[in-house]
Amino acid sequence: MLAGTVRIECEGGFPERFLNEAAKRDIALWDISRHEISLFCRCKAADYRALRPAARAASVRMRVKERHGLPFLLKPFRLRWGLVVGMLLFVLILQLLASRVWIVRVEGNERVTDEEIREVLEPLGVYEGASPQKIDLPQLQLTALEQLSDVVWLTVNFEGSTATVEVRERKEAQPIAPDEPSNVVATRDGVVVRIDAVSGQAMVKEGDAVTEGTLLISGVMDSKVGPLLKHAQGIVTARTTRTLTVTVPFEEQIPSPSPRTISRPCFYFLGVRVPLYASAEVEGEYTQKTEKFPLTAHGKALPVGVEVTRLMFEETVICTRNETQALSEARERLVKAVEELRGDVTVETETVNEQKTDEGWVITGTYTCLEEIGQTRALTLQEK
Amino acid sequence: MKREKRADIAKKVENTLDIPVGVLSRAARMEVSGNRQVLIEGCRGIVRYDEDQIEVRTADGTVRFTGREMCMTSLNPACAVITGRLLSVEFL
Repeated sequence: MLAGTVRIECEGGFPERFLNEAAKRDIALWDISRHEISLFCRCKAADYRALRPAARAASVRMRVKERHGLPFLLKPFRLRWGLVVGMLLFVLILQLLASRVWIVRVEGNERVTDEEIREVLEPLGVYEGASPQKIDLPQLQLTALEQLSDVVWLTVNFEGSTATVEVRERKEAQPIAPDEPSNVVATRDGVVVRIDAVSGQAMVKEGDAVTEGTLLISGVMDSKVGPLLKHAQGIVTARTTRTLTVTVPFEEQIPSPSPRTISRPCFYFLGVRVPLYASAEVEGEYTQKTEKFPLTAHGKALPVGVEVTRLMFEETVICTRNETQALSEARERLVKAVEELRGDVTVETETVNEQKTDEGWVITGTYTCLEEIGQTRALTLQEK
Repeated sequence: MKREKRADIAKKVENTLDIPVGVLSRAARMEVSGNRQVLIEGCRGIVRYDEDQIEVRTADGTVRFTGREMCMTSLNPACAVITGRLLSVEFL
């Protein structure tokens, strides 16, 4: 059927000899039948020309009666080259589009957003319109994990035209269980004022100076049967020193948003971007925000659509203060900082030093505070 | 003459050794299915072709197939297939 067949009528001469000549030339014939003086038979379309010498040798006149098969079906379209070109283009485009990534899906992430992961993966070759064959997966995994600190495992699976990015995020440190052996250590430098060891053995006493990381309450307790491991608990209050510094210059440049914005739309298709704006260099400082408006099919975004980049300009406002205004501003800022500090600690005494420089006022406040410095840390044992 | 002698020797060897006929002597092999179809292996040519009579040449001579609506459904150097309503087979 694909090669095509013809039904031939042979007239006159010696039909038997024609059959013998055909067999001699290795030409297969079938459905041979005789009707009066005519002989009918079928052969492959490609063998028809080779039958001519056989017909001449047998003095037979050959005539094609029927044509069957694909070559004869396509013959009428021979002159319609546009149709053939269209079909070829269709196949080529279909092949091209099928070999590209149409959808990038991110799975398994909670804290790290899809956009963050996509931003990292895009330069590594995972984006709508990318060719999966060009992606070096081991290299991609290494680079992506380096850049995404909260991701501990990542892979990209290609299924048809969909790239599924599977990630596993870093697990947050679990709180220490109440029955787990632990110590209480100092979180900052200070002098111990009071220590209440609820569980465990106190390693410092009131009046002792400690630095950050010093063991305050140990979870290892001596007993007659040997050391016992406990979950150390307690409250350790210490006198600490904190310093706050506020600087207010006489002249300050403050960035403020400007009403001027520029929108730059762009048509994108499988990673190819066609700008829909006149290219012109933009002067001035700005921040840009990009929004995508993709075409959707059955709720899934296709890699075709319009992307709008908004350039939001910023203006720099110069704020000038005289000495009094700068000092007043610095004092206000210091008061705010101290109020924030008082939320966590009790301020006992304070010493404020106001200093005027060429640029502005620098106020340094030194505070003696009472605060809880104990922090529970899991006890790790090393085998000998 | 040489060819005929060789064929005779081959036939004698076949008879003596009880080998199936045609293995050494290149005899034509015909397979008749009822009175509807004949398959001929070793067909050396068509002698006559009509609606009611087909004669084929083989190594052992000409064979005539007589019948009605006779049609050669296949013809190639290896074999020929004749279909129709066979009435007789004659070895000429």
